[in-house]
Amino acid sequence: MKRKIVALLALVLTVCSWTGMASAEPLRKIDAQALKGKLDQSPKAVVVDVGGLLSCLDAKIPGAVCRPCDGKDTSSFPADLPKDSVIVFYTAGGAPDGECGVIRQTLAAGFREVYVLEGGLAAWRKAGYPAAAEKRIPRITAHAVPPSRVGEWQKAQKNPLIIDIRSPKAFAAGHLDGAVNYPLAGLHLQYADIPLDRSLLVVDEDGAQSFLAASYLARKGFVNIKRLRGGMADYQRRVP
Amino acid sequence: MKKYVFHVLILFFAVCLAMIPGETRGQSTGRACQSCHSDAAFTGGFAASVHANNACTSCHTGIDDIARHSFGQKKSDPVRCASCHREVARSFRTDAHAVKQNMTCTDCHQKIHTLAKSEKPAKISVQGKCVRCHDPEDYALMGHGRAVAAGNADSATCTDCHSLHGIAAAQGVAGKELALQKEVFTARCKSCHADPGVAKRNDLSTAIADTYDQTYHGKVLAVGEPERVAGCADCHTGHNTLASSDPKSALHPGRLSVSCKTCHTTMHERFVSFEAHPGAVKDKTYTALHIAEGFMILLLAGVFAFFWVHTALWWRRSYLDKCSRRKAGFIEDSLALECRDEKQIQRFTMTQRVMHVLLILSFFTLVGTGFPIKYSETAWAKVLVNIWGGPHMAGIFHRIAALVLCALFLYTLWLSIRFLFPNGQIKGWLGRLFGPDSLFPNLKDLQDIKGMFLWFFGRGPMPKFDRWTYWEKFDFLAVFWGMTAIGLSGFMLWFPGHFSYVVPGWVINIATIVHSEEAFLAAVFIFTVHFFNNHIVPNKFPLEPNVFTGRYRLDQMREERSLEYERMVAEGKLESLKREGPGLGAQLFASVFGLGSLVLGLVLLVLIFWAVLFY
Repeated sequence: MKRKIVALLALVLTVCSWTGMASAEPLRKIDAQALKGKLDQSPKAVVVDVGGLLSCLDAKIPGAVCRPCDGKDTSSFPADLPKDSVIVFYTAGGAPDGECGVIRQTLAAGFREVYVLEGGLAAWRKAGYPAAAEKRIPRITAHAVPPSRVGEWQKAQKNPLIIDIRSPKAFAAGHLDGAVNYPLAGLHLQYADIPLDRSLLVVDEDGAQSFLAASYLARKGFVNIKRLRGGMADYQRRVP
Repeated sequence: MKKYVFHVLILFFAVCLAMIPGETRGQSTGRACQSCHSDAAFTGGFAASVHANNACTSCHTGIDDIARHSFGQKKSDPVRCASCHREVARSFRTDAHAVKQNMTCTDCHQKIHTLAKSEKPAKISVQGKCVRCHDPEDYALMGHGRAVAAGNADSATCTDCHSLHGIAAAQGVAGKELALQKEVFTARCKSCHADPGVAKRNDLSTAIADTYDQTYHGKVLAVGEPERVAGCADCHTGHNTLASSDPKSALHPGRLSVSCKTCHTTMHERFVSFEAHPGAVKDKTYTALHIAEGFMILLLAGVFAFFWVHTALWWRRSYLDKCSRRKAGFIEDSLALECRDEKQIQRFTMTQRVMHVLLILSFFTLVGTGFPIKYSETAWAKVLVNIWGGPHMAGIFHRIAALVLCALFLYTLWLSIRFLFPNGQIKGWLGRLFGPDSLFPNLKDLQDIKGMFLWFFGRGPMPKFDRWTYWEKFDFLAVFWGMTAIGLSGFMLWFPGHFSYVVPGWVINIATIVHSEEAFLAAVFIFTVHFFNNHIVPNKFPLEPNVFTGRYRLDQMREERSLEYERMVAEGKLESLKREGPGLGAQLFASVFGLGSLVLGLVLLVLIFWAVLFY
């Protein structure tokens, strides 16, 4: 009996490690120039912004569809696409990782020509290609607080609240003391939970997304909003 | 009823709009629009704005049916500032604000309908706009920003460094983006700080920019690897550049070690006495640097003065001799191959020949990778560095070659000790040191120098030499001195942080001078004097192959080293030195490798003189 249990455990472990390895397989990357080439040549090329609705409506690659990573989307994507479609995923700031639900779903559905865009929308724009805005959020004038002065800012505010807009995984890996996690991808659904009378410091990964979040929150009635300059990446570099 | 009157009125305005001449159309359209869009911004404010000469429809295009527009059924097309501001729009397309933050014109140029030209000076006005988002404490209250606010027209405002609508979207902390940032910003700092007019008006010195270019930081940046060295902003910080006397400055004595440690993580506190702009300020280090430089110049001048004169005179004398021999009917066949069956005399062992080949390879690698840094401002520096695969790879090759040379040096040292104390025998070491087989100079060498100069002027015969001539001994001992100086200084530059535990930082400045000047001395000496003495001298031209083949003809020995020949005969050792002539392979290697090295050396010599004369 013991032997059977051991054999079964070994089998389970092997399958698990195999599945783990399979999911850890790196996604194929494509750069902005190559993507432009594919879009010009192939009518079956589909570009998907998985960075969340706010970010996608604010700016996207022309023709891209907005499908957030969390997979809560109810559309038939990607089932309605031919299996030989070229599908390229991106976010505003870079290439999404393999844990993105929509990408896993697409791979599981048997699509083979699946890529992620290196550098995301920023790289696309940097290469000189235009972006489209379905519902752009006008930017407010929100000062950026340098990493070294976060404590100073907290002391100076009557009722400070740090809003961390990174993914739950990144938030769990490390965040500022007292920060609460409102991922940008779902901010439009959750912003009402944030008390209107708080002074906000919006924290993102590298300073590229906090401006959008701050501007969105300002449109929703928040008045005292600042951003962390350079995001958590800069904070971790500069504050030991 | 009111609604109908309103619609008739709109229709009336639309008909009028179609009938009025183009010149006044803008203003009239404006009035038509203002009948609905009646906010102050669209009425009085717009008339005073910078866009006042435009009609509403100049920007708000696509309203081809005013009735539908007035009912909200037809919106105007999105405003495209680019339709007029083409160049700005083209530049802004890849601007950091557009690329990373999806900002558009109106995010900065807010209240566009009342936008008026600022009454403040442009630099102050720009700064005012930037600090609406970028914290003024960081960007505007100190350093350049404060000077701008105080009215200094020379001081840099935000756009002087970052440009206006074409801010590079490079915020990398590594790789190409970081390189681009450092290169661009350092060049922008220099564009003002190297300007004599700006320097004079602001009581600054352009030496700050010039001296940076002369440092390892400046040179490596110039040859194309800025991401690995400090640009201006790395030490002075990007914003709020302050005088070092200001406690808030990154260069204040109290904070300097923290600033240096950002890159030089292994350094000791005394590293901070390293002068990043050597010679820009006349302090203690300045004096020490000048003494070191003076010593190196004297050394170079002395060595070259003696050996170039020696070489020129030798060449003249050899040339005259050769001409006389030709006229007398002697035919010289120095280019002919040696015959294998002809017995020759062994001069160098296989180990010595391999050591010489390794020496050549490592020496050329060091010159080929080091001189592009020494003369980083030349047109050829980047080309040469790229042959090695870029500055980083060139640096790796330089260090590998240095280690090979160090190993050769240490091995030679070991051989020298074994020569002086064979089998641990101390007795008689002095005799061996000054004996005929030693490479150490003795009294005979002084007599030979005198004899050679007499021979140059036809006042005596050419001196008779033993196993080593005085110029060969100089070559050998110069390597000892050179390796100590260039090797030690090289290791200091390789590991400046670690060496700061042994010596203060300013010694690393001295090491830079020693390394650079000693490299010049070694390279130019080898490519001129050593090449001439051994290969280009008319009776050996174009190549003396014995250092590669290991052996030479008996008649050569009798002619060139007659004392050694006589000594070998007297001691009965000549027969033991006889070997077969070199094989075809050895001769081919000697010709190809030897002549190749000779040509390469001369090409490098041209590049060095090009740099010295024209840069």
